[in-house]
Amino acid sequence: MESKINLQNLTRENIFQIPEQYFASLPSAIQKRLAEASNTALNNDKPLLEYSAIEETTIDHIFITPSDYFENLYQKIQSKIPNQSDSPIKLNLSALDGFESELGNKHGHTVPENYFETLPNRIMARVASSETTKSLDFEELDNAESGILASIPKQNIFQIPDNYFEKLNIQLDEDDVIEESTSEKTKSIRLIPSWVRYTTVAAASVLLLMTGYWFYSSTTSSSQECTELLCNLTDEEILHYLEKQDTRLTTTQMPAISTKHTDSEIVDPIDISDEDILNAAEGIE
Amino acid sequence: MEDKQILEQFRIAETRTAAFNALVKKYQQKIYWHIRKMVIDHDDADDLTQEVFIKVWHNLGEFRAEAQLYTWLYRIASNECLNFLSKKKRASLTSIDDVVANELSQKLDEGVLISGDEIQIKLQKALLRLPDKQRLVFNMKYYDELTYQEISEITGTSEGALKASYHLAVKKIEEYLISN
Repeated sequence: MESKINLQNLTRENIFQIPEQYFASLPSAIQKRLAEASNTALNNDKPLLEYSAIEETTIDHIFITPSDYFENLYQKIQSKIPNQSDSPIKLNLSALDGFESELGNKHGHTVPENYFETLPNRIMARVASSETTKSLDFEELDNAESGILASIPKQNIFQIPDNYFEKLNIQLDEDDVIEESTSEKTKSIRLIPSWVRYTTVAAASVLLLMTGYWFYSSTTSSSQECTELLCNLTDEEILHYLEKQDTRLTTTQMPAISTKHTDSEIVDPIDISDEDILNAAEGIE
Repeated sequence: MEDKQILEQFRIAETRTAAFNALVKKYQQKIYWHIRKMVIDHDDADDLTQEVFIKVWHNLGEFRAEAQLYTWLYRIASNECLNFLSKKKRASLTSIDDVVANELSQKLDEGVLISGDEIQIKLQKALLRLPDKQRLVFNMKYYDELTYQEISEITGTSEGALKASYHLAVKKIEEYLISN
């Protein structure tokens, strides 16, 4: 069941929005468009048919400016930009002083002493710091110690007990001696009688020889069979078979080139990756 | 004694101990100070220095001189330091890095076997606020004056990353020194 929309019950709302400052900038936008159109027409040396309305109502007629407005405009703008000679990043300290006193008077807030005097430098330091993290200049990185750190003499503040290094040698020597003496002078205690050991060794040797003979004879016979079968194959058949096979070596089939470790692998890897070291550069907490 | 000679003599059973003694005498100070700057406490540094050389004794036979001997030693020492500090953090039963940094900082204040004026102590305290790996790199560059290439060989990190790390470490240290 359809319900009827009663207009009277609807509130009157403007659902359309405009860009910010639209109306404030509209006159100048129109003025600009008009000027552009006029210039284009003149440059094209056209009869200005389509601009007849403009010709009839010239800019001067639509918008009136105070006398000498444009002559004084630049000076007016300049007068509203204090300390123009300063860098745009630097703050106007005199304006801040006023602002500070105003805040202090009206809201009772205070700032640390010389807060605003040092603020520009601190901001610049932060800006420089953020720029550094974004793009790294390696020439600059080479000269990292240019500030306070460069002024501090490199000094070893740590001390060691008297004759420490001499004692360190002795300690290590003792360790070595202990290790070597234990390895050289190790005594073995015979828990099993010697005749039992000899019998066991002899029995194991016989068993090993028998196993070896059986293995040799079985592989020889099978290899002989294979040789006979291969003799029956033609060269073409063998080549055809090899073409069909993937003859590349797999990693498991490849003979080990070197099983030795590299020097860096002898001890535990230190494992400081680039990412690691840069993440570690988060800094002082 | 040259490194090459030490290595040659170490491979011969009769001259092994003498070669090792020569190696220890040659490198003990470098290794000790590298460790001491990381762990601050002398007793800890002493233990670790000995651990390093014991490890060297056990592994030098396999060393094939692909790298410089001292970079290999630094590598072992650095590893020992990082492992030690990592264990210390785990033992503190908290994940907060500050606990260990504060403990080491306190040792600086206690001044046992420590000299130096206020600014030097403050610099060490600033260093303790850096993450261990960054501190390690900083020490090797700043105090030991190793090149980035050498540090790269020791840590396995690229020179670019090391430069960036060092640069940022310096910034952070200076910020700390200004604010404290």
